[in-house]
Amino acid sequence: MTAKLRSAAVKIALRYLVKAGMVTADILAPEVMILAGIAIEVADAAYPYVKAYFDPPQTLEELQQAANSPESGYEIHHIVEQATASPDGAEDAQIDSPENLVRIPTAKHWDLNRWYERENEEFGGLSPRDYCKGKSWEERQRVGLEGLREIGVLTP
Amino acid sequence: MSDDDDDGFHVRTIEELHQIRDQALIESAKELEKYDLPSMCIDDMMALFEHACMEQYDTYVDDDLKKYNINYNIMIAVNDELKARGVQARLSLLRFFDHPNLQVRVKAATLTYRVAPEAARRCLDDIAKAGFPDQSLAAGMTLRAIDNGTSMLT
Repeated sequence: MTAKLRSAAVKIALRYLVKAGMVTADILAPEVMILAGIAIEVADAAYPYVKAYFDPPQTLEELQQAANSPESGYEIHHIVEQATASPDGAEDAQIDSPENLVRIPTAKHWDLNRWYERENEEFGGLSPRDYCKGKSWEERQRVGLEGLREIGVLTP
Repeated sequence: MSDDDDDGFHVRTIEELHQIRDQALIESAKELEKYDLPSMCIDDMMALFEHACMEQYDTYVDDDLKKYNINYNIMIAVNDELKARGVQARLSLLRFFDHPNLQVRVKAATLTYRVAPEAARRCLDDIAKAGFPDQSLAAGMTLRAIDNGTSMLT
């Protein structure tokens, strides 16, 4: 299965499941995929992504610690985005430092990236990524941490 | 796995975002030439706003950022025209606060916040708490920006 197809299957399943009021306990039941109307092959590929999506929030320390343990359904995320790093490379070490890396559910990583890239009236029509470019480390980190809290990955 | 993992998402650079923004500006300007916004009635403007938001909603699956931005520009053009007509015209978007499509709801509430803050906050708060992909994050971040004073909403 291609990454594109798997990605689409995961997203469609997530929209369906959230709308249906699914919670973590429901998601742990494999038959939930039948409810989602997804073929077995697609469901097998999508399952780790969908299951991870419904993880409860964790502390920042837990998310940073997990970054050392890659797992299917999760990706490593930079709290302060790589794309906003200063072009002269002065921030490279800080960007890739353990404090800036967290492991989060892949599908939530997609959500965050999408939010960062879309034009947004909150930022005067800029995308949040464009807005963050050139801002201080602290300001970019604030936006990054708020995003993690808002998607339910980081404890409030 | 990393930010650049080809697992359904490509992290675009600022330069790529600007290219897409510029293309979207050209295409949305062409699309808007079909309409004479200052002479349109409110209902027709609402239909245009609703359609733009629904097109945006569909980009969740295929991540078509250009399509999202084209419709963003159309949505903002409608909103600018509503602003030019005054508060009553802006309040027309209240009709979408219980719209079945989440993107229509979240954008209507966001753009109405300055003229109907209580109703808009309730609408955004409900969406933020529901945990939907896409719109809950947008609604929650909008409220956070308003609350911490960084929002540029007018």
